[in-house]
Amino acid sequence: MAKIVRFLLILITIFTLSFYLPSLYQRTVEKRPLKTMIYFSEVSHDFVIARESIDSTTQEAAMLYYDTRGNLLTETEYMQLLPFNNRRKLKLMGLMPDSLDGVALTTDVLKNVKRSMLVADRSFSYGLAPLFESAPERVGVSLPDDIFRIGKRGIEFIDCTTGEILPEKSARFAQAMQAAGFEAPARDIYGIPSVIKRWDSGYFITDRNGRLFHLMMAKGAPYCRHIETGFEIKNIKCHTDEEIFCHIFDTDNRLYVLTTDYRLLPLPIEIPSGRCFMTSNDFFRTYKTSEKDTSILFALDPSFGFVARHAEKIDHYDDTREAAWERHLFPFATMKTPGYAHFIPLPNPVRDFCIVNLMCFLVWAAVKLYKRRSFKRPENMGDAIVILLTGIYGLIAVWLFPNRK
Amino acid sequence: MTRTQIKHLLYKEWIKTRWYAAIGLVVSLALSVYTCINAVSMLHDLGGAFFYSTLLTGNIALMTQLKYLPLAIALLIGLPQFLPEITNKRIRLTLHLPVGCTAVVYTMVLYGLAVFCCTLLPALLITVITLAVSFPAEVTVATLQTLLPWLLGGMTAYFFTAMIAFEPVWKFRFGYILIAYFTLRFFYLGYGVGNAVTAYPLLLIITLISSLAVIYTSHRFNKGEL
Repeated sequence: MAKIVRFLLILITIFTLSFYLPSLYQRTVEKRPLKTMIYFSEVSHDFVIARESIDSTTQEAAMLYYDTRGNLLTETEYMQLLPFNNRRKLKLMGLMPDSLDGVALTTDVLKNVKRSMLVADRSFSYGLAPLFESAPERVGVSLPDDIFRIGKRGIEFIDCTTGEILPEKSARFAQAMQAAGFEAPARDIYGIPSVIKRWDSGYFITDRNGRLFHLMMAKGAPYCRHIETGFEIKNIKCHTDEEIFCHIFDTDNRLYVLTTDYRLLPLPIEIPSGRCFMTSNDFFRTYKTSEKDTSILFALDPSFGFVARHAEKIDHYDDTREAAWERHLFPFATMKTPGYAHFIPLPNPVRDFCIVNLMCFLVWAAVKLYKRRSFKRPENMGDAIVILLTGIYGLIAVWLFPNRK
Repeated sequence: MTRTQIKHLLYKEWIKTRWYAAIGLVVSLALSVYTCINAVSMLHDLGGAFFYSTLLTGNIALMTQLKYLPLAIALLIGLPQFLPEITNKRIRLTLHLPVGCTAVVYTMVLYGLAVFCCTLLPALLITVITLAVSFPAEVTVATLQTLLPWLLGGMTAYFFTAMIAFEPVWKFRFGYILIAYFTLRFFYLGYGVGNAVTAYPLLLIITLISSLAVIYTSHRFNKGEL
């Protein structure tokens, strides 16, 4: 029994080491990566690249700006190409254009810039939300005195102070949802449960069968509408936007946009990582995503038509000599995902770590030979296999939990 | 192992741990009552609507003051239970009784686990009842889901304390303290409310394996490994 327990303790130790040792190594050796940023110019309708470089004489980092043909731009040229990003500086310098493509650059137009992180993976939600008045008499959003949930019995409004269910309101909304074809319970509720927004667009709710519905309260009355999607929904990111309600991820990380006139448009972009950063203004919408060592920017027009795509290699830890040493030292690393916690082992190529694993095995075998231990004992054979497979982790674990003489 | 022997062994453990268990019980009761009053007063002070708006946008979390309580209780019970046994290797007397080594060790460990559970049970009941009475089921369930890794972390800390105590060689004992520390950190990673659910299988496996760990070190101790 003690031998089985020892083996299990070795496994725990290997797992623990694979989580902490690679990150400790990275934190010790990793240098700050040099920044590379891609923008889409509303002026030239082309990409602008800002790249951090180290001056070889002063050893100081400085930003250099290029166009897609590799021509070096001055900082002023760079700012003039991106008036929305450099609004204040251009105004101070007196270089802000009056109009762009025939559209006057008023304060409202210049301020109408939206930025949002879009993530395909769902994280925890309580399954409770406040239903705001979407057509208020006064401008703004005010907090209601109740919150709702959608369980097996359908929608239920709970008084925030007393915790009691409000039967009349619940029945009224449940009836409207049933009439729209909603089948309780809700699988997920997506929306912005905060008053820090200019207006309310309600919630997007998937029912028991994964069908999408839009729920709002307009002048106290329920409004529920079914939205045909034709795909399985993975996550929804809602916005406060005049033109779009939300971005929708399907299970293959394809991105769709739902416009305020209920058109569901697939976006002509690929984001296999399931994470991207969206920026929009009156002229263009851009979606920035990154793959292993590449940053990619997609530019779309206001009606979500494809305009251009640009990929730029970025300074990444994986390309450094330190990362190559890490791949030699550790056969795999374990990482925790953000949001719902999953521990995922990330294996390195066998050809990278096999030499270190073999060296670990030889060290272990030499010590065994020196101490005149038999290799034929099953526990020693097991130790040998563990060290050959897990290298430095296995060697530490086997040393920490020794076999009896 | 006869019933009388078990009774005697349990009495010995009781003498060692009773005052520490009592302190643990008082501390856990006080902290849970404080935490519950804090949660309910937050609901009343902020007003129901604003409280839920803040809670749902993730700006506050309930019962976070209880995070390290199970860990503290585990050490409060485990250290006085096992430290006297390893001082001058007194545990040898117990291990040389005419009964199985594993049976003796597990009687001690299960006693400690029972005391750990009894010490935390009233605090847990107060927390569950307060949550169930004051908040919707969704909030209660999510808060308990967040508490569970901390409870498992406490149990694992107790099992590791027993494992480290029985280890006869100081250099290995030091190594086990390091491994126990880093393994216990898995239970206290910043998961956020409700996000630890997917890590439960892993945390349960770690707790189960740690519950067996004392077999390995007590075996080494009993066989005179140095």
